[in-house]
Amino acid sequence: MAEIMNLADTAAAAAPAAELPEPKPKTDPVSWLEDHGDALYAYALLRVNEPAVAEDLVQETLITALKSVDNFKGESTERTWLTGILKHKVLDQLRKKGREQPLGDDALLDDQSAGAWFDESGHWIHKPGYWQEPDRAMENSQFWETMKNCVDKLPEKLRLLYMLREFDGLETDEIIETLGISSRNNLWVMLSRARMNLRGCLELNWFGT
Amino acid sequence: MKWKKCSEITRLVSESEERKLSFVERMAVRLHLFICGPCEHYKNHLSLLKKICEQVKGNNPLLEKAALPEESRKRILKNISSS
Repeated sequence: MAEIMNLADTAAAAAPAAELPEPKPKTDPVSWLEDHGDALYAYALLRVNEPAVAEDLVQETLITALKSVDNFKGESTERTWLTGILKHKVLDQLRKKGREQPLGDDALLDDQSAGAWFDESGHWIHKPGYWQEPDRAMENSQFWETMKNCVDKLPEKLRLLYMLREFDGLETDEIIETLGISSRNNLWVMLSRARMNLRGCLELNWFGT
Repeated sequence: MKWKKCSEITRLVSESEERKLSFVERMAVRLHLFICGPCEHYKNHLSLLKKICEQVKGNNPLLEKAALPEESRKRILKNISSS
């Protein structure tokens, strides 16, 4: 730490008055924890589901961040940078878990709840209706409460693959490889089911036709 | 060409977000949506879901709220300084 501060002082002294160097990002884990601890923890917990594991991942992230702080040139925000490091660690953790306990998609595919939406001839049991001004919903904080509850209601494994796809933007092959899903088709069926559930929940609890 | 059921169409609509549908599949979907209001609504709802998720991308307090306990913070800082 002391070394970094001395370099900064030297640089400031050497630079002409008109061109002060950019302030160095804080290299203080105490500040990082204060500013970003909750957010990082929440990100990890949502994906690994175990508080102790989530805490370890936050810790590992800060350690890695300290080591590579010279690589952070301020192109993104501190939050984005730290989250990027955390994201890799979360995926590594999920991958490790995926090897030890592959998703077991067969159980999910046989899931009886699939029959809740369509009858035997493939027609809607409850027809989706028209949603009034859907874009406006996003401006309402209560809508986000509802959205969060609906995501939480998803079966755990469906929720995870849905989040990796939609919140983290992972592609099909990345998700399969990380979670140990047996085929692309299985993933697609499960994503379809997740979307079906989520949409149904939002219609029931918000858009209510 | 056999008419597809709503259960099949909704799956294809969802899958089109991950892969390119074949020409036959795209036609089947388009024809079905032309005459099936509920499935058309469904497709619009999935589009909205996508927009909602765009807002959530990355680290977003809208959906990710949890507090790191004080005890844990102390432990983490202790472990960092000893590493």
